[in-house]
Parts: sequence; structure tokens; C-alpha cells
Amino acid sequence: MSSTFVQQFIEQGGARSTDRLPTWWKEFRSSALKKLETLEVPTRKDEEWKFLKLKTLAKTSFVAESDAALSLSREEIAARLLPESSASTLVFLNGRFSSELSRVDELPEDVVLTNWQGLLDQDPGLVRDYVGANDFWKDDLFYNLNGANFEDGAVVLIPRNTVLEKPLHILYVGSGKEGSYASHPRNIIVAGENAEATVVEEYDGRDSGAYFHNVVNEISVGANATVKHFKVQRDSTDAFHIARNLITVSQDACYDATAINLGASVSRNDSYARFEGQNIDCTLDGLVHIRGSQTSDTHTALDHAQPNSRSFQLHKVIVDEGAHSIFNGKILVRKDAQKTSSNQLNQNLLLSNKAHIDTKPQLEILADDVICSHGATVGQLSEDQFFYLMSRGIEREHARALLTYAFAAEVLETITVDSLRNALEAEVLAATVG
Amino acid sequence: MSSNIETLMDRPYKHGFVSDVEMDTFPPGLNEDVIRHISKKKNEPQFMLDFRLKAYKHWLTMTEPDWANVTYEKPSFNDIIYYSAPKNKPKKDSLDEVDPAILEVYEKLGIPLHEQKMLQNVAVDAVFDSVSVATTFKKQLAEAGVIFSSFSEAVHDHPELIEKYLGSVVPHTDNFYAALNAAVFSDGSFVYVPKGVTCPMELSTYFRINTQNSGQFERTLIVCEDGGYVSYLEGCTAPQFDTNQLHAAVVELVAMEDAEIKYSTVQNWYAGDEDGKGGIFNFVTKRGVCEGDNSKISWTQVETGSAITWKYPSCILKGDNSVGEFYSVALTNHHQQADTGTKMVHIGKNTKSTIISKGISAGVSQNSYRGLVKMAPSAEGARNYSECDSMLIGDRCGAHTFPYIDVRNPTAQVEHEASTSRIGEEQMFYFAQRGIDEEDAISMIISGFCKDVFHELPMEFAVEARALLGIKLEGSVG
Repeated sequence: MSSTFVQQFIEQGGARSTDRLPTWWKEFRSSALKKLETLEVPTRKDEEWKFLKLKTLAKTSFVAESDAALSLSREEIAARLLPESSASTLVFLNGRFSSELSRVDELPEDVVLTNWQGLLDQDPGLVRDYVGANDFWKDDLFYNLNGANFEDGAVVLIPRNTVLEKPLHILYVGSGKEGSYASHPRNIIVAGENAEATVVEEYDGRDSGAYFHNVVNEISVGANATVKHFKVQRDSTDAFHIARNLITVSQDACYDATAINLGASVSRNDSYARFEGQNIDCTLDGLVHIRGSQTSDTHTALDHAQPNSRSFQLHKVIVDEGAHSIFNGKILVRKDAQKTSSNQLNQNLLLSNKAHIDTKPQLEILADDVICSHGATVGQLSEDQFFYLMSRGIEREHARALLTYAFAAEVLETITVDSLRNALEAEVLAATVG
Repeated sequence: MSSNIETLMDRPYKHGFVSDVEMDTFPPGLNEDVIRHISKKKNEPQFMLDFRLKAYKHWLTMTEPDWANVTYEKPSFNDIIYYSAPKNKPKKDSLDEVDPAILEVYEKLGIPLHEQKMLQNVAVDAVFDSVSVATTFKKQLAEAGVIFSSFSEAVHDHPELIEKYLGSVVPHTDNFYAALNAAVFSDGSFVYVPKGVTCPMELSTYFRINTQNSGQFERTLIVCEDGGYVSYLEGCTAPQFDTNQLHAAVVELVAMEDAEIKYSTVQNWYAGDEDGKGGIFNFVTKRGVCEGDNSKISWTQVETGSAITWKYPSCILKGDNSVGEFYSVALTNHHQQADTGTKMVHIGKNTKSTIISKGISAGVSQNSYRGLVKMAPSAEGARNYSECDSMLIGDRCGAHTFPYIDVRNPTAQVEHEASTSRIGEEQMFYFAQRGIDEEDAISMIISGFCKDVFHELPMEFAVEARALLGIKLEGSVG
């Protein structure tokens, strides 16, 4: 018998309507429900969850998203909309699609940008091959909670040879004031051969009160395609955010991701990228900036299953007050994945004596002709840097803000959507001034 | 080129002989009676028996750990011989009284005690299977006030010191193998350096497992009082058997104020044959505590043997300004698996630690570095620098790095770097161009790769270590 925490989601999943669902979706849901009977909330004894405390999450009870419907006007979310995506934005309020706030227009022919419920009106068979295709987390509790409960999320299908100039924006707005809800967004992003696209995935919290975003992303990058993926998580500081990103990359393709984690009381952002061809370029950058009693955990795995590919990772962390950050970055180089080149750097800025950092960069190398390296540092702003700025008449407090901002800026600079980058830079600067 | 390398790799293990020394051996198996028997045989005081029984009871409640990145068939603890000692052992004052057959073994191993005594000014405590057979240079050390004796002798001669420090660094509850060791350890070495004394010579222990199916459970305890200094060397070999043998040792170091302990190991236990049959399971707990301010503990290890190695020499940096160091070369070939590294736990202010780890994997072996750097909230101004480099020779082996970093102090600084490489064709070409043959080239490249560690070894060990790596790797680059 599973714990109360798991049980509530088994009940919710079982109560969800299956009327409109195709057979394969029904089967996917029922097998996840069955799997859930055997799963428990992970504890510290589980190596993957050694440092993240899930006690508060496990003690909270959540209602289904339909019982906490949120309604907002366009003005209320205007600050979050990206001008670049004025004709390619999907908006979800407390996990449910808002057709009033979403804008999909003028997209090239055959490009699909819709939500799951919208897809049911078209042809749900289009995504069948991608759901559950990468089973890396098949025994994971949160992956299966999502499998048993997902009803909505974004579906992005870019056909071969299609280049999207404008970024696609997927915006989830969450608020606990209508009740503590759990939603399980599942986003499918598929780029066909030679396609190019930029996707912004954003979680935005308002008001106080707990809610739970339990995300699964299934991303497939076709041969010679390029996908840029920017994720911004600023859920409310009472919220829980857990995300599983499953990425499959084909030969000659390029996948660049930057994950910015600023919000949530407890957040976990895991990515698993599997290289299914040669000559792939993959980047998984990240910035975590947390304070108060926030906890943020990032686990990544770059799985070089084939030779001749390159991966890069820059993960920066700023923790202040009583915050706790965890990082585990794995680089796997499988047998015969020769000529792999992989570089990882994790830098942590520890600003308070109550804050806490756990980091574990990890190399697992099974081929000899490779160049792999990782580095991790934990430290603080140096006195030399302070001196340099203060000798130029900048006050210590201001210098501290500038230096902290500069530390974060290296990651923010990788964001190619101007309005988003500018907004984040302003936001991080404001936060560092405190 | 590669076949050439293979022939070189297949060099036989030259320490693989069994010597025919008359042994006093218990039947295999473990229960309370065996422990009482070991204790009685060694004529131990009550506190020792209590310690053993307490550990045994705790051990029964524990399960064998499986988190390490190694796979093996777990030993059956009831098939192991827990006590095996050469017969004929009233106490010896000089080497002349030692069974000539045993001396011959050491001679074959290349440590003629007589010679060493004369030439190298190194005091040797030799442990044969489980019992210490000879301690050279005892008198000279006594003059300086240094106690260097087998553990069993120390239990009788200095019970107050043993009772005070035994289990103080590695408690009997520490882990599965440490608990087993605490219950059944039969001998080992004890070193005590009094206040202000610099030990006049390097101390050395040589371990040898001779009996088939026997486990070796030795325990080393080194206590260095205020301002003392000691350098301690440890070497290990075992004969070739095609069954696995268990070696579960515990080493405890205590460094008081301003004291320094340097502990060096060259481990060359039998690694099994090229198909991975036989070899030693080396499951060792080594830990030192820098109890006093300004103290220093330095671990240097060259790990070339054993079928499975599971070993993390660690430092607890309690005293302010104390220093911990870990220098390691771990080489695995054929089916060997090593999961080794260190833990540096910073508690005191301005504590410093350095970790330099060089892993070399060849054949189908797996070599893992696993380490922890922990900065407690009290570790103001603490620093750590870690560097873990791996070299892969051949495309069937693996190199893994699992560094854990846990920081809770905003003035502490931690830096960790790791890289992976191989011997490149360009490097080999460079040597060939200058008329240096393949073997010498490899040996020089490996020496260069490991030089930061070799540099830390005492002279005679450095020579041995270099030769050992040369032999182990000959012919492995293709």
C-alpha cells in the first residue's frame, strides 16, 4: 500500500475522464497507475535523493487542478508576455489551458503549436511515438505521477526543413489561492530533420499558498535540427516544482538549453539527454539563485551513447540566507563513444553562513580516446574584487550586488530571446541589490 | 604495437609463491567462540575481549554495503579462516630467532630484513598472515622514546594507550568491514610518538597473506603526541590462489597539537589472473584525526594490486589550522576494480586539505575515484583543492569520478577539477622520434602523469612504486 501522498494521486488519476482519449493514452495512464502502487516517496537512502528533503511535499495534500480553477485577465499577465512571441504563445492557468490568453497565429504550414486537449480535436496520433519513448525515468515516482495524471500541456511539432524565426512561448501561471492544487504538465517538443526552433518554457507564481507543478518534457531533436530551449522557473515560494526533461538528440543536431531556477520552496529540475547519433552538440546551462528557506536541486545526465559528439555545461548557483542548493551532473561516455568531448563547470557562490551547498560532478568514462573534464568550485566574492570596485568609489553594498550580478550574467547572456534576457537581467540585478 | 603490449601486461605476479611454514590455524567460520578463542590465544586483557564482542554483536546487525562501483561475489563469512599464525612463536628479541622459512619469504619479496636494518635505517614490523613476526630496530627506537611494536605486544605492554585510542577514530560501529575487523583482528602495528619527538627513522610494516582461504584483519594505530613526527610505510603482497581472499584492515591515526603523521602505502596484493579469477578483496578503513591545532596528516598511496579495492583514507580536521593531504595513484588492469578516494572533513578554523588522485585503467578494469569534501559551519576560512585525473589505456576499461562536496560555511573555498585522457599517438611519436622505445616511453609518460604523487613517497618506496607501475603496464598501450 502506497503512502497517503501517492494514494491521493492514484485516486485523482483513476477519477480522470478517459472519454476522449485514444487507446494508447488510456493504456499509458493505466500502466502508470499500476506502477504507482509499487512506488514510494524517495528518502535520503536513495542516492538520487540523498540531499533533497521531500518531507513537506509528502505531507501536503493536493486537489486536482480542475478544483482550483484560476482566471486572469490579459492585463494581469501582460508583464510576462514576450513581444517576440505575440503570435506563438500558449498560456496555462493553474495547469489548465486558457484559450482566451493564448495566441497562435501566422505559423508556417504544418507547424503544430497547441495543447493536449486541442490535439484531441485534431489528431492525437501525431505524438504517439514520442510519449514514453525515452523510458529513463520509468521507475521514478514523479515521472509516473505525471503519466497517471497528465491532461494538458504544450504540444510543439515542427516539421522537417521548417525554420521558426520567432520563439514559442509556453507560460504556466500558478496560484495557490484557489486551493492547493497539483498539476502535471507534459510538454512535447519535436523538431524534424533540419528544423530550427526556440522554445521558452516559463512557470510563474502569484499569490501565496502551496501548489505543485510536476512537469515532464519529452523533447526530440531530429537529424541536423537545432532546438534552443530556455526554461524559467519562478513559481511562488510556497510552491513545489519538480521537472523531468527527457531529451533525445539525433545525428548532427544541436540542442542548447538554459534553465533558470529562481522560485519555489522546493524545486527539482532533472535533465537526461541521450545522444542517438554522431556529431551532436549539446549544452545544458543553468542558473540557480535562491534565498530564504528555498531548496533547489538540479540533476543532469549527458549520455554519450555514440562517438564524435560534444557537450558543454555551465551551472552557476547563488545561495543566500538559509537556502540550500544541490547539483549532480553526470557525464556518461559509453563504450566505443570515442572522440567525445565534454566539459562541465559548476560554480557556487555561498553568501550566508546559514546557506548550504552540495555538489557532485560525476564522470563515468568507458572509452579511452575522449576529452572529458569537470570542475566545481564553492566560494565567495573575493576581497580583491571588492577592492577594485571600492577604489573606484563604488560602495561595498553596491559592489556586492554588481559582482553577484556579474556572476549570474554569464549564464543569462546565453539567452537569445532579447526581451526575456533583459527581463531576467533586471530581475537578478534587483534581487542582488536586495 | 598492441600485441607487444599484451605480452608485457601478462607478466606473472612475482610475489605469487606460497611458503611452507608450519601454521597454527583455526577452522573456518565465525562465532562468539572463535572471537573468545582469538582473544584467549593472544592472552588479551578483558577490555579487548569486550571490545571484540561488542563489535561482533554490532556486526551481526549490519549488512554488507553495496554502494561502491564494484561488482563481485560477496564473501561467505563462514568460509574464512579468522586466525592463522606461524607456529613456533615464543617472543623474539632479534631476527635470528625468527623461523628461517619466514625470513626466506621476505627475502623473496625483496625485503631482506637484515639488509634493510643495516643499510636503510628503516625499522620493519612484518605481519605474516595475521601475526606480527618480527620488529626490527626496537631498541634504537626505544631510546628515542618511540614505541613501535606489534599490536599484540602493545596490548600487553601499554594497555592504557590501547584502551584509550583503540576505536577512537574508527569506532566499531563505523562500517561493516570495520566492525568485522574490530571483532576478529589478530594483529597489526602500534606506534606511539611522545611529545616533541621526531621519530629517528621511517617505520615500515610488511603484510603478507600466506594461507589459502584465510582473511587478514590487521589493525594499525598510530598516536603522535604534541610536536611529534613520524613517517610510516606499509607494503602488501599475497600468494596466487584462485579463490578470493579477504583483507579487511583498519588504520587509525591520531595527531595532537603540532604533530605530523605521514602514512605511505604501496599495495600490491595479488590481483587475480587475467580472467579475473582469484585475487584479494581489499576492503580497508583508514582514517586519521587531526585532534590538535596545527597538526598534519598526509596519506600517500600507490594501489596496484587486489581484485577489488574499497578504500578511502580520510582526515578529520578538528584542530584549527590543521592540514590533511591525500596523494593517490590507483592502477587497475585486467578485471581489477578499484573504488578509492578520500574524505576531508573540515571542522576547525583555517583548515586546509589537498587531494591529488591519479587513476590509470587498462584492460577491462574499472577505476573509480570517490571522495567527500565537507566544510562544517565552524570551518571558518577553510580551503580545499582537489584534482582527479584519469588515464585510460585501451577502450574496454572505465574511469569514474564521484566527488561529493558539501559546504556550509560562506568563508570556505573549495575547488575541484577532474579530467580524463589517454596516452596520445603524438606523445608516442615524440618519443619514437627521439629513439626512445615504446616501453620506456610509456613508463616515462606514466611517471610524468603520477609525479605529483611519487614526489610525496619516501625515496625507497618511490623507486619501488615506479618499477611496479612499469611492470604492471608494460605492453598495455596499443
